[in-house]
Amino acid sequence: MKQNLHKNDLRTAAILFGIGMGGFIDGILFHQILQIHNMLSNRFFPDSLVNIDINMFWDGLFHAATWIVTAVAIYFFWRAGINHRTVWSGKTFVGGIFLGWGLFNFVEGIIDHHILQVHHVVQRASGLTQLLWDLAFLASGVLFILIGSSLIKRGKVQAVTQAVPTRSGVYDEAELSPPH
Amino acid sequence: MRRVIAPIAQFLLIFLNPSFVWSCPFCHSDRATEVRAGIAQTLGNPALVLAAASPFLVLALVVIILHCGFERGERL
Repeated sequence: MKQNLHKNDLRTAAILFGIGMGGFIDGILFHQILQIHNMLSNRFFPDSLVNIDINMFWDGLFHAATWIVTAVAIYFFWRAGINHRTVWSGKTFVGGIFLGWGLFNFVEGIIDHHILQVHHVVQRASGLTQLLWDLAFLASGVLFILIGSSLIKRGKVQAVTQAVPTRSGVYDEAELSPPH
Repeated sequence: MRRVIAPIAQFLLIFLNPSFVWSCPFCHSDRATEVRAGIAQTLGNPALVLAAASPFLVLALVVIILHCGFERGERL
């Protein structure tokens, strides 16, 4: 069972990288460069220096969580690297990143924008425009999940077709790896 | 060695000196007091903390499920 779990390390690393990258794009691009929303901008609207400072603190916590996810991704990537059973597939890796990014956009969108409403994608917009931006964010999540899943499936097919039969006749992914 | 350590020690003595840190004009401003109170208020609100943490908790659960191979055609 443990070996089978380790077989998924590359995919898990890629998904975690995708979550991390999605989080950093949200935090760096939306929170800091474009400043269209902050972590608690629906509760503390950033129209005063005090509210901006409070949001900045919570943006920092958000970035810290995203950093931890990326650090865990590095751990899994390292583990995949030292595991001789790892099948190195670009499709699996890129697919995993898309899947993770999509999962981030979808889960964060559903929870933060729609259920708890701690912020919206474009905080200064109102009514239908605000809702449309929130829905567009969710749609990007679904799109990335579909792209990611499709690439991961194609990566699996590629791995199976490239696998060589062992003496027992069973296809062994380990034989795809270079000798150590 | 002494030429390297001496300026560093001097720097630390000046800038990490509590009397310097606590005399910082920003730390004693009304705005800083208000910000600290605001942050303490938000951190003391369990609903808000859970709200901020929940996407990451849900994502962690999803990643654990995916890692354990809980998908069609793939078993532990």
